[in-house]
Amino acid sequence: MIDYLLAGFSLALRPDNLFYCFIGCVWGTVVGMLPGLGPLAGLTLLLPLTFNLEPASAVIMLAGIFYGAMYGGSTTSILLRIPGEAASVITCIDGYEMARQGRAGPALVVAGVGSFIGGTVSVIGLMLFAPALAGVMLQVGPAAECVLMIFALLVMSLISSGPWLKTAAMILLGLLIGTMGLDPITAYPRFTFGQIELSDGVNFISMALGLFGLSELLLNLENIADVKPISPTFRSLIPRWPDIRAAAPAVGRGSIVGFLFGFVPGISHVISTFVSYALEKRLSAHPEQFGKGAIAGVAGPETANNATTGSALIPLLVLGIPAIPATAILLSALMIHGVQPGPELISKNPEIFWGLIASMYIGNLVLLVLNIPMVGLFVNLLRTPYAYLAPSVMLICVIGVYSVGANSSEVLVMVVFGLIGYLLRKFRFDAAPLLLAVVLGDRMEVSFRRALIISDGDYWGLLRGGASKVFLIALVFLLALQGVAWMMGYRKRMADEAS
Amino acid sequence: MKSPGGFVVSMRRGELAVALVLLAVSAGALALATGMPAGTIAEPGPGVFPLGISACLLAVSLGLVVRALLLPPAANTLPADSPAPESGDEASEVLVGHRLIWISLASLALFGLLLEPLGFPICAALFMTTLLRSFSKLGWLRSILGAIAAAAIAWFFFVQLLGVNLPLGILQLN
Repeated sequence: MIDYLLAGFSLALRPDNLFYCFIGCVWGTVVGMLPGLGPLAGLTLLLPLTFNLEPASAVIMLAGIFYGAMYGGSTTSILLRIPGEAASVITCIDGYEMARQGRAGPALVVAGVGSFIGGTVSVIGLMLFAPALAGVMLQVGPAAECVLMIFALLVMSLISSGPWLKTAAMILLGLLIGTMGLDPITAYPRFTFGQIELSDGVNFISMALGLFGLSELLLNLENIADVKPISPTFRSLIPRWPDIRAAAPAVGRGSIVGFLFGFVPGISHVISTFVSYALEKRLSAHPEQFGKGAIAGVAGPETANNATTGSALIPLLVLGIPAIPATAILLSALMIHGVQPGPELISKNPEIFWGLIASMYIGNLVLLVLNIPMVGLFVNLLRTPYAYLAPSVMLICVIGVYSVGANSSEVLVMVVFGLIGYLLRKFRFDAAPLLLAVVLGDRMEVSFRRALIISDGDYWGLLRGGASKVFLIALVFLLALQGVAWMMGYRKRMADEAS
Repeated sequence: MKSPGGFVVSMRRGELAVALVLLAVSAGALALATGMPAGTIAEPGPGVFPLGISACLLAVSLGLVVRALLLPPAANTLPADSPAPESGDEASEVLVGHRLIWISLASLALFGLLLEPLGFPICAALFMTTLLRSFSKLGWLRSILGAIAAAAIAWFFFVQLLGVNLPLGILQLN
């Protein structure tokens, strides 16, 4: 393992890959900070621009955006009480209170250091667990793969904060959209309406940019207001010893909570923050301080959301299943470059896996520097009027979508999905399960049909052997986590936050 | 403040509308899927998954329609000049749309339609001028100058630096 890791570092430390890692981290911090642009939109915007890069470089840059956004989101939560992205919602509670009390500096430092530790623990976990799990997964066939994907979608529908019917509808709609195009086994045209452009189905980039990037921008247009963040001084960034003593245990617990929840399909990075906050409040000697500037209320959740990044990559890299929408974009990037994630990724493309691991170690360090001493630079970005920011981002969306296939009709597809995404959000339909289902649906169908061919049409045979063991283990694990989340009052809090 | 160009919709109506659209989509997909080859039980054909998924979606959509119909209607109908309602519980109303949203969508659609004939530089400049003028308090001159600068920076960064292929349209020299 050490040899592979050293090889990974030699790839990650190449000047061009360092540059891409840096770009990914900076852009991730920016999209994490800016309300109106989430990590999903940030990933989708840059995805077309990675087409000319090597696969490892593309993944390094995109992964930088993914975990970078977890750092950036805390800055706006603490300084503005506006979450930069969903996983930073809980940080608004105590983070902003700390800022109002003149303790923005310690809050930012604790969030940054906690994020670094959580991110690093997560990478170590990824490095240790992924190869072992890949070895196990090589023993199981398409039946288990199909069962796992069905299970991932089932869990997503159960764990979502909204009504089950709505999530189920989005998943089924996503699966239906995923069947558009030529059948992967027989090449029979499905729902193409005689259009050659639809032979490959709906363009994923256009759909993702529309549903997440454009719809978010449209929602924010309803209330364009210039934001005035609290600006911490450099000296005020230094935390006091009591702050460190209070935050340290929360960081440790947050790392574990985040890593475990990263496996949960759906919105693991959000769930982990709520569970961590509830855990810290229950364990605290002074729970009455929570909501009034308790540093553990910042340290735990911010560590947890970064600790999900490594474990969220395990299902993607080892099973080829994106557990969260952001990793669905990473999956697209890999597939566009002809790399199939799954149990064979580590053995067939070790440079991608170990290069990514090494770059995550480096990236977490880069982000620590960007988010603490250089936080003032990013705070100034928040002062950019949304009236200028929104048109610029829309322009980037058009460039991104057009660059995929040099086809201007994709811009229209993006506009249509932007309007759909906007309306879905308005009426409380979550589009994330839709996107995940689009990505998984095709492969799930292929696995299912292949498994049936192998088992000679024996449907019950799908659940025998490796498939049923995988299913049962995953079921027990995820139900246990769901039980923890329920006990922590996650659902109620999500509903409260949504209102 | 209630936004210009927007309209108030009760959550009940909104959810019902979405559910009915999903119902229509699933019914149409089901009808089309029945015409696809189903294969055999041992070797399902390309029509099986679309058939199964659209049937499930049809059932779920019916459930959503029933759910929407069972939602309580909005407690009060908001007067036209009242503040925008907060999206709260299921019985509330939401404000859908805004002048800036319609301008953005229309501008983006036109951008897509004119991108290849007119080229990126001209379309980008026109697009940015429209949005800057609509979104901000900038006058025409500043909006145009800002738009030209944005288009030029975007061209330099994406085409020259990153090698993205964007059309020149009528600016192309033959």
